[in-house]
Amino acid sequence: MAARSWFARGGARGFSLLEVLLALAITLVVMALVAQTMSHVARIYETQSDLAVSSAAIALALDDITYELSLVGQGLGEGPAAVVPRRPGSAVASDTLTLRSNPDVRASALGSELEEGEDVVVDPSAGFEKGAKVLLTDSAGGGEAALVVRAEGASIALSPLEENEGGFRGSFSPSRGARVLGLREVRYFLDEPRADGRRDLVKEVVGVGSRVLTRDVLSLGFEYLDDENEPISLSKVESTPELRSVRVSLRFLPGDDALFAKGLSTTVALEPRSGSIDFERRDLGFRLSRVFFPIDNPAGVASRIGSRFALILASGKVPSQDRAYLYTFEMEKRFLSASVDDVIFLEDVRAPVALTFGPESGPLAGSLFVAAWGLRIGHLSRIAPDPTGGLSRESTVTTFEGTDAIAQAGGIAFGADDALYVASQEKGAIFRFRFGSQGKPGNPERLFRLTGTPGALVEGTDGHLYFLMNHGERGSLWKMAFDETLSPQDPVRVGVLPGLAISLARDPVSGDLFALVRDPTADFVVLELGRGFLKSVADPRPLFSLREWRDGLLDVKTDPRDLPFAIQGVPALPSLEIEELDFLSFDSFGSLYMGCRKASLVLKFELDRPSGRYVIGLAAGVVERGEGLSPSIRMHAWKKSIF
Amino acid sequence: MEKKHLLSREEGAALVTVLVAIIVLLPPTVILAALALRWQRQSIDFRDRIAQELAAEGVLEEARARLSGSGIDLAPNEGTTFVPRSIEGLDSDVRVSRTEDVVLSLDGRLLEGLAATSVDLEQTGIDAEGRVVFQFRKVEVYLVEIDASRRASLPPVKLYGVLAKLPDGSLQTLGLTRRR
Repeated sequence: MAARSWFARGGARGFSLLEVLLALAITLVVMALVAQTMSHVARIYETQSDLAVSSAAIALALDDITYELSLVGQGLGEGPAAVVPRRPGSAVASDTLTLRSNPDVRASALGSELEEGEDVVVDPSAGFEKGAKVLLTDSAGGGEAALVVRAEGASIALSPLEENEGGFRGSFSPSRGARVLGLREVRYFLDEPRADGRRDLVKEVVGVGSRVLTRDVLSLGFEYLDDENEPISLSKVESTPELRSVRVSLRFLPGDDALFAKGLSTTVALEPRSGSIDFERRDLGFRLSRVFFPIDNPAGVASRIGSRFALILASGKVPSQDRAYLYTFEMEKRFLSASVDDVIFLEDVRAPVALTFGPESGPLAGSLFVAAWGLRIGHLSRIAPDPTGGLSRESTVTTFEGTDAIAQAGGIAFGADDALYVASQEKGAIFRFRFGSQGKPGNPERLFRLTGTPGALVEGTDGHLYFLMNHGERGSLWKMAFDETLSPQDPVRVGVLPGLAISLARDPVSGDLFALVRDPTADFVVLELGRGFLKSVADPRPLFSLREWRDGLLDVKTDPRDLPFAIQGVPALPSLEIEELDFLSFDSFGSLYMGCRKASLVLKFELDRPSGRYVIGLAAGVVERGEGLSPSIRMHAWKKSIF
Repeated sequence: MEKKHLLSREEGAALVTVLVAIIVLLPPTVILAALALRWQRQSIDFRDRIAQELAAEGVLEEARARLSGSGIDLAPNEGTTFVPRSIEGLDSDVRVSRTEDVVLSLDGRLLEGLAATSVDLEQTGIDAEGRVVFQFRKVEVYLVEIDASRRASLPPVKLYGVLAKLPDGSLQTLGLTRRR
């Protein structure tokens, strides 16, 4: 069928004016809509472009800071602060960072006293040149920037880089291990804010110049973290050896029309830049320093932090009948100078098995708590400090009402909540005693029932309680953690010990736990339960074997009576007939005590601890020598401590 | 079949319209695409560079582990290479070389070459508190050179590590140098 236009005239086919106008109107409307949409799209495009450009610039700036942080400290070694939260001459600030390194590993000890402008002797191979920036440091750490004003072979002259009226701020002497190091210093800071509050992030490389890394920055923040990711105060950043990582945060406004600020942040771990070599020989074992005899049925040793005296808790010859006593002695007395300093009798206490001092932070500070054994009912006693703050015959002894919670106590210790925790062997449970304002314990609360025999209980350096547990002859270490509200959590097993667990103590110097176990060969072994063991990534480290110690001594002297500690009248010592050990304890100086009930003996040992005095630092770096040539290593060494 | 009713001179108008629209929209599209590609390339480069650096650190850790175990046993002035554990899409070359041993003296001097070979390493002294103190300690020095590359169009990351093996067998990192 032929199509027919309603508006066709005179048989002419095509579009009338009205049709064209209508089409034009529709087209205009559509175009307007399209234009509006395009406008929106253009605006979004512009905003996103700004955001992308700004974000890219910010990301690159952050990457630049990250890269420089990864180079920090290179070639400097330990001592001088490589991360400095300020610009020279200004106060510390969280939005300013100065990074130091010595990429060419130029270093020399100072051969003479340093005076401004005077020549000082250095190692000529260090290659310091006139105009170079250097860093002065010594065994005390810290550092001061200086400028080489004259360089002639083995001598250079320096002047301080920072304005200071009296020459150098510090004094640098060869007697304190002063050394001079090459210095590359990079600074990051924000420029003055513009009218809209935005600021430029500036990177300044000393001796090279400064440049703007990115604009549109609202804030820049550097946070300094230790190995637990806890923040370090800005004022301590330069001096602390605990600095492990730096968190960098940037907030910025992308483009002119941005409504909301954006943020980027990253954390950079600082890497080791030097090593240290210890010159002490470490394979000497334990050293016996004192013998206590006769101590009837010793139960443990304790000392209060800050006191010169320690005490041994002991029963009489017949523990269930004789009164208990505290044998007090001065901790620093030397070998063979043992004398009975004092004895404090505890009239109402029989068969004591465990002791602990009250928490220093509360009203129980200075009080000694003693748990006494009973077949069904045990007792807790408190020995309060005398008016001088120590324990003496003037101390008040209070024995509290007996309870089956303390019967056959395996160990006692105060927790982070200042309550006393008791491991009950008879009940196979952990009990808690809360103390009232009068210093009197409330009723025992049974917290956890355990399948096994719990034993000694101590507080770790992390604030949680650790205790031993035995299943038959198999010992293990357990942890009872406290949450943020100081509520104790269900105990969990930390690790297995190679034998019957007997005693547990914490070394106050290293913070590590030590356990005494009887191994399957019936030898008594002291194990160091280091942090690796507590994290289940390492085995306990055997440090001492009773059998090896005895055999070693007898190898040295064919006649045991010739041994230096073979005290006349001490039956067990000349023949070293010590076949078992019953406890191990530390005093607050870090000396280790082990007791033998059968021999009425307590032995005091000094552990071989690194003195840290004979340590040499060693740093190295790599210098590229161009295409085709292998890079060369530059090293320098220094005394970490002056001895 | 239905017959078309169009003026002969209007034939192709739709094509012209489409062509005009394409011509108008093409430039912004090209610009947008170019920008998007550039940003994508930047982003990928950034990601790959980070991946290269992390890979280089991983290879250094592997070299450390091999040196502290029995994986690499070198005499002074010897070197070797090894194939690191493969990381998908990343090529890495690693060379471990041992330089001449150095000796540290108790007074902080660094002895190298002939001076290092002529000292008695067993020489000890005893301090006032009875501690046995060595006078000299020998240190084995190893250089680990790592090139990590993601692709040819991105410059590789170079990482140099200087490691020291102490007389007790422990390994320490004396310094790390990065080159981008």
